[in-house]
Amino acid sequence: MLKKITISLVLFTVIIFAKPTVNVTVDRKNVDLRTPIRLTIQFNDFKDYPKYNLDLGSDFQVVGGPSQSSNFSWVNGKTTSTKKAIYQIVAKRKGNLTIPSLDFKYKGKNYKTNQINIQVSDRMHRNSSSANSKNIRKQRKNNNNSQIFIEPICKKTSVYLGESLVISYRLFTRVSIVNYNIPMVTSISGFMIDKQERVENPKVKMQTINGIEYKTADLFNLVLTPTEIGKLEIPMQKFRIELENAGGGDPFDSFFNFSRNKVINTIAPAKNISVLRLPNDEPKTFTGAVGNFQLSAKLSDSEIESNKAVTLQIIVVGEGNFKNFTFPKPKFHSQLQVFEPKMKENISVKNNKIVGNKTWEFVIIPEEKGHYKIPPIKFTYYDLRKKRYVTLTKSNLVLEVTQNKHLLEERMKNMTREEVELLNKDIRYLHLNEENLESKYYSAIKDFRNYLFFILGIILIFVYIIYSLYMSYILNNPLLIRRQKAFAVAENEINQLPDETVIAFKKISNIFNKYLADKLNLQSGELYLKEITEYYQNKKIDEKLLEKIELTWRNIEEKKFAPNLVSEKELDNIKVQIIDIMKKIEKIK
Amino acid sequence: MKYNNRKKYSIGLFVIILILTVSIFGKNLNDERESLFKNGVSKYSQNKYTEAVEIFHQLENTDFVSFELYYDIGNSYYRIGKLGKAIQYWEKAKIIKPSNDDVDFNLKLANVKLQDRVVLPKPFLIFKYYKSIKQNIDIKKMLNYIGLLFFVTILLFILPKIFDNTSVKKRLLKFLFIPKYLLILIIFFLFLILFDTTNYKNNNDFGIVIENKIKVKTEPKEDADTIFILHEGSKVKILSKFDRKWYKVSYFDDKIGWIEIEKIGEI
Repeated sequence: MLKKITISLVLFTVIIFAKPTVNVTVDRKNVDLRTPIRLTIQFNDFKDYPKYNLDLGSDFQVVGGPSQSSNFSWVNGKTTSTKKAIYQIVAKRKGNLTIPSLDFKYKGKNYKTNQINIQVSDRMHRNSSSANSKNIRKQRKNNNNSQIFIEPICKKTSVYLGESLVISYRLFTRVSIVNYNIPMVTSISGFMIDKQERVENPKVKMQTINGIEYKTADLFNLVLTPTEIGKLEIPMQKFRIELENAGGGDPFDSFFNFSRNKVINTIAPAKNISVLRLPNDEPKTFTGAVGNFQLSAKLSDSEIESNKAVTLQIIVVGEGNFKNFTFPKPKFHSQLQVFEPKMKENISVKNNKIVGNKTWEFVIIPEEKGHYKIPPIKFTYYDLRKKRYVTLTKSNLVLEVTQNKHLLEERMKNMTREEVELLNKDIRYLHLNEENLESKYYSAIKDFRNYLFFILGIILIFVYIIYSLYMSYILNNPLLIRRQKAFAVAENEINQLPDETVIAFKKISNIFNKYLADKLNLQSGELYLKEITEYYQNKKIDEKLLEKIELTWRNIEEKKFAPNLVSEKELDNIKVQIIDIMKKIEKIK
Repeated sequence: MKYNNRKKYSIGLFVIILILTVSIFGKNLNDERESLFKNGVSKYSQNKYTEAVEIFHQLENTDFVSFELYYDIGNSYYRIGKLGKAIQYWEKAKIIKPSNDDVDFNLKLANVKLQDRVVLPKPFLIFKYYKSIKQNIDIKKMLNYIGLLFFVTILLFILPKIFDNTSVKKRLLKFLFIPKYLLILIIFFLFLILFDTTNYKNNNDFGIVIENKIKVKTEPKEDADTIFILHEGSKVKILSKFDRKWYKVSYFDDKIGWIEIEKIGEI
């Protein structure tokens, strides 16, 4: 309630007593074609925003805005009201250009602002040489930004190849900083980036430059290793810095929570570095260390049982390029089982130098008892102070190994019961005779004897197929069956003849008839002797057999008219003759 | 005609003489081998193991070998104290007779005495059995068994068809329906196992470390770094050969490195 009353009172005072004024300002007067200019139109003691037409002529164009803000101030009993309209504008061409004056009418009164001259140059190259960075510094000094700038600080401008280089980006400021963003450096030509770190809780110091006192603080450290020889450039880096609002002292700002921080981009200029070649007389133990180091080495135990582990710790302490060297593995005794070392490093940037330590831990397992001398541990680096290679040596490390009494017990711990029992047993006895000799080049897969059953099976399949085909052929030829089975049928019927002679004779004559008919593929009723003789004459059979057939045929034919007269003996004779003839016929192909 | 008969007789005579010569000569050779083998056994019995090894190696250097020969060489080396060599020859014997109790026992005993012991996680039961089947398969026997099953299956298919009597035929067809298809399935699976086993045996060469301790190197060079160390008797898979001096080996399909050829006894 009190706040509302205060505001109303202030507004009333402003309306009654204030005299309105207007002015136009820009944030920079020297710019390039792409850099936007912040143009601020400030209306002092206006009741509200007047209507105006922002005419920038043909040389400028608006690219952003307007963003509007208002504030009130009350200083020494005098109250002022300020309204701002902020535009982002860019120049359309280079040269000495003019932002025209602003004319407008407010409550019957004319207002006019001053013209502003702007110097517009070509586009600036961000990855340019130091000459450009000088321009930027000059430009920065010309601008209001000279109150704040960042310098890359490097103690050396000349380094050796492989030597680590620390660049600290130091902020110089006369204004209060709220926050800042550091750049993310992904690559620098000719350098390897070992480390980049934002300085946590930067220490603020005072420094006077050209009679002006600045607050300084290191914001960002970049640790680089040159990979090329010659003159190299570390390019400019862009920092985004948030400044505390200039009107921060105004109690109304905090009172009405109207304060707004200003964000600016500040560019740290490029830095030139000369990279020199290391001398060529490097020892064999040199692995790339450049700086100033100390070496220490120790064994975790100097006395140990066999098959137990001991650690050899090698530590390199000092300042230099810790990231860029390794430790040459010493040649250990062959009875010592040495594993690949575990490496640890602890480095930091202090006073623009890389300091810390690097540790290698070799796990060693001696297999047999004995007195083992660890070979001299040598570490070579290029000393930057002495300007020569220095080799550090650590010797006289000795390992006493005693017999491990618990080894067998330890091994038995991992064994099954069956395996422990086997330990006390002996191998099985010899085989006294060679049972089956085998060729050295024998291959069961290539031995056809192992495929006998397969071959038999396949033969069986073929036999079955042939049999099936034959059977189907026979079934489709009944005459053939008759001819082939004629003898078997006839013989069977003869054997089953009745005892009575008359009936038996009749039957036997039929059997003979039928047999011959079957053989000639004819019906038995259609059969005549002439046909039979012709058929067998064509077959060129023995003449005696043909005679015998004729005789037997005629004999039967004659006796057919008086079967009662056929005696038992005659019947038996006929039977024998018929069987004999049939057997002989069967032999004819 | 007479000439032809004489020719036939002379060829027959030649064949008979040839067969007799070969059989007599062969018998002599076999006798010689047998006596040499018995001599080796006798030296072993007299605790003259080195001499026994020498005699057995003479037999090994012929074109013919046997399970018993390899087994006995393995035993002789074990007695001398050369565990790696013993394992190498027992493994060779196991290739000829994969399921022999004596060689299995000796190998188990030797494995207990190895310095390098790798305890692998227990596999699934089915994989364990399958691995055991693969290791103990006698390819010769397996081929014969599959062949016999194949023959029986063919018989089962054909048998009902050769009967004329339709009722017997129907009964047989009904009765044999499941067994014959079951047999086909069994044959199929046996073939798969056989194929897998022969493929495994043909494509994987193994060797045994025959020196007390060897360094497995990162590359085939004497001054190369040592990756790991193996002791006598450890079994490695030989992956490739380099320059007739080095084997590229893997230990339990996990660690890979190079070993000088003379330090490995090829199985």
